[in-house]
Amino acid sequence: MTANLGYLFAAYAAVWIGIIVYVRSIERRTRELEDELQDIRSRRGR
Amino acid sequence: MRRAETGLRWAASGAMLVALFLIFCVVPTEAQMGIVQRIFYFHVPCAFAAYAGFLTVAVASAVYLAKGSVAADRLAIAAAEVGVLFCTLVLITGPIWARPIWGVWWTWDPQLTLTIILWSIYVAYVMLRAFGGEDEAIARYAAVLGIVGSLAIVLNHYAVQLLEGIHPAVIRARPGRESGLGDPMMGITLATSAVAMLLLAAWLVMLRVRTERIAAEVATLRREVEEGGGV
Repeated sequence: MTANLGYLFAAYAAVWIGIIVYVRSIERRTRELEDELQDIRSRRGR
Repeated sequence: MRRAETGLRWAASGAMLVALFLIFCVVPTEAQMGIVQRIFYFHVPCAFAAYAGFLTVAVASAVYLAKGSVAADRLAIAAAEVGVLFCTLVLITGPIWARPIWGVWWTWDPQLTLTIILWSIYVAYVMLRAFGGEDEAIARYAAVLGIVGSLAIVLNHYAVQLLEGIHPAVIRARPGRESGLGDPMMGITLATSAVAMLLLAAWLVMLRVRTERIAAEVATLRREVEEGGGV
């Protein structure tokens, strides 16, 4: 039974890695856009 | 909006913790497949989340075509990306289960083939939206693709029931065959995991919609700056 433990671990690890990488990528894109928005607003305010 | 995001995040986290507890501490090990059958408790919910994402694309695209709603278009973009993520996870976890059970990583079974086709359609949608720019014609073309692509979801769902493939029918057995869920606890665990995965997908869609909204605001401000002769 434990012979297939590696497959079980690989499947669950793949799901979590996929989800975490995607959440990180959304957060990064959002942060960059918010910074750009802030920058444009501050330049317009001058 | 932020409050809804936080609420969904906590609901998804709570449901996921319960699901993981059931998967690894409560549900009995399936007699024939052994421990690898537990991959189903993530593989099948990922498929549900992918279907939900793609159906959302189809509905939101229909609303966009009918009413020209920008909010519906943004929802379609977000749901397509999240649907592709979960469909990719289905295509990764499936072969990991298949290798010890079937002895091969991949076979051109009807449902597996239809899943690849479904994934390709929505990858094309995501590419179109990512590289198509802000052209309204591209958005309309993508909306049609998003609606037509949903036909593959229906085909894919029924392929496992109707066609004589080797992919197991996890929830409802084919006539004359046993279902993959022999113990009632297996059904409860799968349902809990499905709820958790759908909540997680909904949270990701909300996050992605917010990114689209900010991107649109940035684009509008940039245009205003350019038309006004720069700053």
